[in-house]
Amino acid sequence: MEETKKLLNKHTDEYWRCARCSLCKWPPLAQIKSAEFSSVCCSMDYGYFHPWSGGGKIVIGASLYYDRVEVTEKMRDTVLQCTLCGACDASCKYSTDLEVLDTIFDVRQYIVEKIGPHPAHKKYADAAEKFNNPYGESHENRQDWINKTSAISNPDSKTLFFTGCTASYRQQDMAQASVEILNAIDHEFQVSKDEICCGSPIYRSGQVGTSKKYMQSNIELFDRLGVEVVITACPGCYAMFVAEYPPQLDDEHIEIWKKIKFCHMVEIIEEAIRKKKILFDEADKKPLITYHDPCHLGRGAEPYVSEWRGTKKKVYNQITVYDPPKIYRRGAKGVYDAPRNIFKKMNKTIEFVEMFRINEYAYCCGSGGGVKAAYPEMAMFTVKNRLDEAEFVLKEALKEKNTEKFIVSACPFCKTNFENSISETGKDLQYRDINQLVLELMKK
Amino acid sequence: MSKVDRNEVLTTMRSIVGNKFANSDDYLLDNYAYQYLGDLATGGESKFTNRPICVVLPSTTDEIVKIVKYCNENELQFKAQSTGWGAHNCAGQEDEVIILDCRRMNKILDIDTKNMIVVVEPYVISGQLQTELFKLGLNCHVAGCGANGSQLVTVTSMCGQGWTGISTGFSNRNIIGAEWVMPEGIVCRIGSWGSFKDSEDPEKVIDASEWFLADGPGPSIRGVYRGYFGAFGGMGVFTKASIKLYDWPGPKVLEIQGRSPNYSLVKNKMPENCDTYHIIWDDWEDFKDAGYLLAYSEICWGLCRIQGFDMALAAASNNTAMYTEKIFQDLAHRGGHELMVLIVADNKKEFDYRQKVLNYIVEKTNGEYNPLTQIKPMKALAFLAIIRQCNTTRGVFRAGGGFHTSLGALGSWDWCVEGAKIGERLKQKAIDFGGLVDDGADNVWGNPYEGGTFSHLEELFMYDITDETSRKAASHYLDSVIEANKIYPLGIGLGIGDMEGSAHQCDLFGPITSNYHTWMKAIKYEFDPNNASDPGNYTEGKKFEG
Repeated sequence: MEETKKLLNKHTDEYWRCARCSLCKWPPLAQIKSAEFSSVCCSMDYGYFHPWSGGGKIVIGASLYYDRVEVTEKMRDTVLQCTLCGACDASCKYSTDLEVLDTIFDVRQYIVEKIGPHPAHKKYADAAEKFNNPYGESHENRQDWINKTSAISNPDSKTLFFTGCTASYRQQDMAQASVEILNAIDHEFQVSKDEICCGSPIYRSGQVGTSKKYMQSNIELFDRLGVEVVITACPGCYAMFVAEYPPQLDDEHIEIWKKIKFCHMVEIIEEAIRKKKILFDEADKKPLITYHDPCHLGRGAEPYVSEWRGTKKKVYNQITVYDPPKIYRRGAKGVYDAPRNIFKKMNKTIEFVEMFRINEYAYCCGSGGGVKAAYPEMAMFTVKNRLDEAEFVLKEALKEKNTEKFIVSACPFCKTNFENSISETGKDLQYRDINQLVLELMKK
Repeated sequence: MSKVDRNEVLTTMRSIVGNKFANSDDYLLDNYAYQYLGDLATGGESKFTNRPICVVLPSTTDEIVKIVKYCNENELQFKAQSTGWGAHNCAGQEDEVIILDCRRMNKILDIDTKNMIVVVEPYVISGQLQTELFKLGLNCHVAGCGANGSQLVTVTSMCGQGWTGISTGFSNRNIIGAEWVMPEGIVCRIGSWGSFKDSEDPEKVIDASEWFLADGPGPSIRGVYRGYFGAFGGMGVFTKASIKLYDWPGPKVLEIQGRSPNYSLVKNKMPENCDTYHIIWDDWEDFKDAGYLLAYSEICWGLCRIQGFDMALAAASNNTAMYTEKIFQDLAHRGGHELMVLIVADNKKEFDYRQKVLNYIVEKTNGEYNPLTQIKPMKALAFLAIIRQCNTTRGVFRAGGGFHTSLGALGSWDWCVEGAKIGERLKQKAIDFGGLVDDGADNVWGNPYEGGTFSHLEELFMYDITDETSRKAASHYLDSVIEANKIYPLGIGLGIGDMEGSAHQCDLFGPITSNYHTWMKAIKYEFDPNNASDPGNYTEGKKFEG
């Protein structure tokens, strides 16, 4: 069999078992809370036709696998107009054992290997090759952001604050707020001038082979620095570390990876609040906030599960079971509680209201999976949908009161997209990164 | 053979709906050829059936009229779909059919709380509608396929029964009005609507009096456009439907705890004045008597046969858990003939009364409350799954990926139970051969509805769709079901039309069931002289020669 076709060969069960039931287009049915805000797939919302859905992309894989169609640029567009948010996978897996997201990703990789990446994604990869970041910014300036803060890093610390490319160059205030919080809670850390792109934008755009060297380099960096904990404020980096690195690393690198604890800033803040290292003042006029789950901090951050090995057998004539039982990644074990626990502890300072689509069935902001770079109009279309929902629940909760309204999240990509859309549409709410919110409202 | 080629069709369609909303790329057409039951339609060979010539996403009735007229003028066929689930959504023949994917027509146009009527477009699923109705103290009938099915389609074009049919009727009976683009492109508005906002012009409110056209008693247009079973896309396109609603005394929101795949009611606590009961009878006769008594007593919000094996599948978080965890094993192996009863009452007094009557019927008919399902977590899960219709795919598709229904009886409860016995015997043979999932053979699903005046039971079966031997076995089993239907004319085997087209089924069963098919063909001929509305899963038109 042709080497690249092995990517498709892994998913023959999905090609047969997809029931074409459209569960991949909705939240798990019991969780539908509003008819208006009940789609879960931003790809389908943008593309309309079935191939844009999770199930539809499985069928594209089947069409290719059975040589029914050729790879075309239009097909590549369909497959790339997907943020890889994993909502389809989570919804399907409430009811089935299908690996929807894995199939989508392998179909994407297959198509990219056949006809090359999208030009915008190639540009990112080329820039990263040259500058260690996809934005083409100077590597020398990567950690300049910290000089604009009063935060102190300790080069001997066993904790590394991994900034990530977007927070280093585009959303520096997130990184700055993060380290100022770390200083305030006496959590020592270091930053490294040798940090490079985590590989996410290259990997997720289907250029998996090219992305591996970034993964290896970062793991080698962690080893050289002797760090035991890596903290990041970027869910893109975080999901790469906890979920995507392990299957791509060789044995030598995986041994290093196993020794490191990876944390997102929200987990650090949650712990600090629990230990009363962060306290909040009572506010006269509480701002009203809602929270957007970043896909890579939620579904995508469910830790890696090693490939199942064991015995498959058929019971009741035709039902396949696994011994030992197979563990499924359903997107339900991501970082959902930490941000909500933070908001609970801030209840004298803020008022909090949930949107309809949350946790493992949260709607995407539209900026992931290379969409913002290659299909900016889709990113804006999607984020507007999400902001409509935020605006709706905030308005409902606000009633007659007059206070500031915020959508809060914990991701530099979500931040960029939300801020762009709010500025473009003039919506009556503001965006706030969770680190910045905590820093603003915590007792100094 | 059409007079026009694919490019010309695409150009015309784009001129009607806009460039973005018509497509005929090979990979996209192939996507619309893939379907659930495609494997049974192709003798176990493939999930792919026929490719359409073009797929179009209309957003208005007017656009649909133009497309339908174009098909009539150019010897093309059309078929509409909403959520597009099942092989009947595919083109009846290769490269000749325009698929109208009605995804963009997705609005709840009006909920008339006073008259208890809702007006919806094709792509409103039951889960969406029910969510909004609960907030208003109302509910709709949800067909057994699950809350992911289109409300409009179940009432206009198919035959769908649901778990709560005893209190919410069933799909064919709940349609009050329809906007119907007839096969030649004429718009017919039939039945009663209430007033609602026009989807094409939100400022315009269409008054009921403008729309009302009496439909029955007596000869009914509803009988023409859908009959009992629905025309499966073979009699035009339905763009709006007004549907009967029912009172919902339960909570406005069902609060849920847990993360996927383990959702349940918060603290596994049943809402006030609500409960579920899974009852077993070891004897068919007792089961039959109980069905009648429960239906006539009018105490049930929901009443449905659900076998222990299927319940275990729907409750367990995966197949391995279903096989290894004791509670599911015990549930799967208990045997007997079961009914699930849901009580949803307005107040405590009423709830107590209903429960007392239930106890009396269970005792009188030698039934037993299944101890395995009387525990709080199982009750809460059953309530959530049945009320929200959210575990159907999990209960029947996850086991082997292949699922379908087979021998089915529609009529009196007695008649249905007789059908169940025949179905059990027939399926046991196929199970013994090894190709089907061994679910204990007796796995009929269904219920009496509307106070027990009418009922249905259908024999479900599952198979491993990834295994060629199992797919072939499923196909052979269905052949045997068709043969059995000739010997025991129980009623049309539910859904068998998906395999070879209902047209084939009509020709097969018509001659032994009062030649109903000659009337169907005559109606199809008169309303669709150009055979433009894809007859693949309905019937070809034929002039009546009576």
